[in-house]
Amino acid sequence: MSPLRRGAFTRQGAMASAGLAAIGLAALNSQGNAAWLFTLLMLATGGVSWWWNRRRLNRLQLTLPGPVDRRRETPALPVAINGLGRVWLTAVIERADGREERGPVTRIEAPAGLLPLPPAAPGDRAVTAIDASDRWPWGWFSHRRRWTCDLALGTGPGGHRADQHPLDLAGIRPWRPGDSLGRVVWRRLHQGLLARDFTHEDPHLPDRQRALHTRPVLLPPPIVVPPVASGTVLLLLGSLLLGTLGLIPVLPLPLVGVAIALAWWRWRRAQNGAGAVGLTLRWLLVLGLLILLIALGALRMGLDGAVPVFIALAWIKALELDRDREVHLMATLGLFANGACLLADGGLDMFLLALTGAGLAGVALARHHGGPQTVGPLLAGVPLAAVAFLLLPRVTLGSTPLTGEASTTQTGISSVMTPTSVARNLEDPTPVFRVEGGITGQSLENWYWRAHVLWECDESGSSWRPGFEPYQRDRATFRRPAVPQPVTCRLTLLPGATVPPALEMTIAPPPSQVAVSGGLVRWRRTSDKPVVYDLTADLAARDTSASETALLRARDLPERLDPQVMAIGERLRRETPAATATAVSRWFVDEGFAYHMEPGTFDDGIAGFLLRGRRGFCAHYAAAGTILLRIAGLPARVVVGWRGGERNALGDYAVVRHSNAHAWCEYWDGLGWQRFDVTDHVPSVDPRTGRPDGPPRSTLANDPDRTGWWKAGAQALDYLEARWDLLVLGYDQDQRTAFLGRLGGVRTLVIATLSLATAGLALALWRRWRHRPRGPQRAYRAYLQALAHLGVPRRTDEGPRDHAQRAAACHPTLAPMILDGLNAHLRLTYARTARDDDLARLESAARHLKESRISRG
Amino acid sequence: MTTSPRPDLGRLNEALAVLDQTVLGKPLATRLALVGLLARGHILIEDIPGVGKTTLATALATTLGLGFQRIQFTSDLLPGDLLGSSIYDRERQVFTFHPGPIFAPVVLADEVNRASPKTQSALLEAMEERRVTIDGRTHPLPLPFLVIATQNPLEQAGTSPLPESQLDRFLVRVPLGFPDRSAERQLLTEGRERRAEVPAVLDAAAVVLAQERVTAIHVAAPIIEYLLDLAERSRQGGHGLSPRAMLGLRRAAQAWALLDRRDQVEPEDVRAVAPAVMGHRLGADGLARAAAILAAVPVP
Repeated sequence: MSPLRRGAFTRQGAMASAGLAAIGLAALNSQGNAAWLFTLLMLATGGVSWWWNRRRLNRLQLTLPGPVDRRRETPALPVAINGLGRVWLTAVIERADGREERGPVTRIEAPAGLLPLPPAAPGDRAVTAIDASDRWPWGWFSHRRRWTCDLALGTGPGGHRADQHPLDLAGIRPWRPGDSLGRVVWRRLHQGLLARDFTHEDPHLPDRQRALHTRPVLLPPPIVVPPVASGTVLLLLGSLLLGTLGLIPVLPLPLVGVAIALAWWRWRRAQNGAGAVGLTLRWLLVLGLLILLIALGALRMGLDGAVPVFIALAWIKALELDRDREVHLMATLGLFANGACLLADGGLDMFLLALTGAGLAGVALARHHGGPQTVGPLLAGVPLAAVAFLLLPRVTLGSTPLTGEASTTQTGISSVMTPTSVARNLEDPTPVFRVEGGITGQSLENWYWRAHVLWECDESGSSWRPGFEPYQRDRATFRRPAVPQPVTCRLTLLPGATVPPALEMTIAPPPSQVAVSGGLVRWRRTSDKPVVYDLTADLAARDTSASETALLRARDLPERLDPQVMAIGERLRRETPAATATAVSRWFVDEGFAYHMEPGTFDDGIAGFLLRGRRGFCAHYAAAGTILLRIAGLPARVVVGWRGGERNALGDYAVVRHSNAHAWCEYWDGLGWQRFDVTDHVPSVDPRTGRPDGPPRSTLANDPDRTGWWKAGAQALDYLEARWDLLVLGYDQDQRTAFLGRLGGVRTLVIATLSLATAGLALALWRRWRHRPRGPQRAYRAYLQALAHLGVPRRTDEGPRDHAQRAAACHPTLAPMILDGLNAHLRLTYARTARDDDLARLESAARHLKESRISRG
Repeated sequence: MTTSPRPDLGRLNEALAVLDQTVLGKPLATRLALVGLLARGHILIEDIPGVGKTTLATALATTLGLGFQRIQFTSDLLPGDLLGSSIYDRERQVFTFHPGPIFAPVVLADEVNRASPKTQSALLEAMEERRVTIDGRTHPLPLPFLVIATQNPLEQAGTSPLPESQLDRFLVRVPLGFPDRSAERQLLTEGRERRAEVPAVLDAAAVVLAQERVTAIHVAAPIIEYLLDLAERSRQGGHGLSPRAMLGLRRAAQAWALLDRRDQVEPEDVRAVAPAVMGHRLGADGLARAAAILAAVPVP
């Protein structure tokens, strides 16, 4: 084997890793940070492992006699290998201007194959080097530095003749009956029996030396390339399956079923030792899947249409999984499928799913190519990705997020309030937003979150809508109370929320939103991902923004109002607004009204509730209260939003769910709008007795019917998701700027990074210096290394003397030096006393042997 | 490390050359036999009759200038026949001790596994203690003292195989086997006359001196670690090597190094003698196990 020197397979590894960046870039604008983090993770691990493996690459430096007439050469170089089942090679040529250019990376299977050269150009020089790897030279999982293999290249003077068979190289030829085994070294490879007749190598050598040259050391046992192991198949199928399951929101369900069936089928085949599925069957399956996609209406343009086709074809590819090449392709498909999951959803669960899927693909590759050493670079990539995530500026690109049906909300507070819409919300436990900070010691029941202010009702009085310029962009005005109750909290608004909540009464709107009249905030820009914003509120402040028109509209009554209701309202009119409100609430209590979640429907709207039903929930009481107040002469309006929330035991935050949806009234008392929540006064219906003797709603526990470990588990999960949403998904450009500012600005950061890098380098150098073998051991190691590079590595079961003698026999010209070094080593290590110059002799021998290797190269 | 004069070494190698000329085509066996003697051990040869066991023993004795006795072990051989006995001297009215054939520097115990266990144990006791006690009186055996025991393959009828505890007393088991074609041709050409020409190269005093020199051969720390590794490996499942075996291995490696005219033991010395020292101590497939152990333990 010719001496090897370090080189690089940079392009292929970098390109493969960079491919993953496409997912992140595509996802930046939609699911932003999760995809961003995933991409950085993949890139960082790929980069670290590329850097890690970079030094383990091998380059075969060739010395060819002068320029070669490329016109006479075939565009490929015949290569024979011996000792390994396969190697990956790429030829390096020197262009006329001195540039190096690499050809494609090609797998050469034992015993021989053709290595394509880069396209020829006038004035090109010969192939100057061969980069070689015993693994697929991909960014993540590459190279062993030390491996042994005979390479024979068809690079004689005048180049390679087209009629020359690669097997003619190195004297390897198929075995023929009658070959004398005494003179032919024969081996069984998976292609058949091969022979190599050493007597033809050099007829001038004396017999003994020729025998030494043909020592079987140069011919290690053959490696038969096995089909892909069933464990690897399982891992790859698992990776692709996870990616497929993560894409369920944008995939037609039958396709997912088909994918699972195909996975099971392929796995069964792998278990039974059967390889890929036959070609005809595969084509039939492609046809069938296309028909299925057409029938499901999934074959359309755009990202939503591309994903089903991608998944369908990926599964067809999974059926072809049989050899090395497919392993790499399948791993890449698995990575892409899992990366694409983040386009549909960037939550913690989806991120973990994608990470697991990508991890499975990685483990499959590592398993296939062997080597737990790949784990080190992968783990080393994690902190790198974290640092990059924290510091890199965010790029905003125009892209289309995958909008599956799951992301269209079925519930949520809308600007039209009907008893039905509110009831639908009350049954939905999905979180809408989380509140952090400022909730300690507060009773959440008194926290009202405003979403919409409704002025106008329909003719029956039960359906309310904004009506009156709902999103007027004037600055809201407030009346500061004598005793302020300021609250500052951070909200994480989860995807699917249609309106940002404002705590009553928000006095400083968040920077990313705007305040509008009515104490509300509105979007400055909408987003599908979690939005984090801080707001400052004063729980005792009141909205004072009201124009003459507004106060007039706040007195409008429904067109078809029952006279009995009018009479009730008139009867409740008092001298002052506060007294009127008290009278209204007392009337509800005196008339036996009660809070009930399923009051049924009333044909004549609010009149039916007031006159007959007398059972209802917030929507009924808000509408009825407002109408009664208006009849009694007070300007009044309905506000919808949320009330209360569930405190999380693990973190100092609360979750507000759709089921916290609430509606209440506000009336104008001459100075500002005063909240008036009737449900605080009426008792609730006891579900067991059916009688209205329960406590008012405001004192009811707001939690769903969960206890014990279930609740603890749910809260723990929610806590994790809250951290993820806040720290990862909520880490936007503003947060990054703030973070950099806290670190002391960019300059400090650069200095700190450089200092850290210097310190790390110093530490690494110091450790290397500290752990270096000293004196005789170090010299002997260098001596062994030099001999190993000369093709005579020492076996573990071989003594130093035997080894040196073997090396001397293989390299007769170097024998005196080899034996001199050996004797010095033996005296240094085993004798009672060594000579004074023994260490110097051993070091000198090692140095000379190393130099002889280089000069030979 | 030069307490003894140099010429000893030259004469040792001369003796080895003479041995090789006498026992044709068995350089390893002759060398191991000499190692066994120099390391103050005893030698076991397990082989079929007629391959040169007696020739080796007599040649060793003659070349080194030592006395030689051969005892043919049979099933009716008694310990007294081996060790000697006190016989009443009627004239002097006392019991006089008549030493048995074991009182010789080189003793060939032929077909040792044909004797009764009682006789076998008497021999092995004498080998270990290097003295014989009869009727309360201790008679030291001569120095040097070497027993070459031969053993027929165990499947032959009428044998009592040596138990493992007693096999441990033998330092090395020497493989002899058939000679190769050229050696046999030489043997057939020259006939038996050539044996009479074996000259004495050394004498008993020189052999004792050489034995003392063996103990002075330096064994460096890496070699001790290597020996410990071998012992540890051998004890992983099944029979392991006893501390006595390890001491013997160390001594044998020293002797091997001495024959190479070196003052220190090297890993190759240990590897050269290890199969012969370990083979009979590791059960039925001892040689294979010894080879496996040597292959598995990294050489320093």
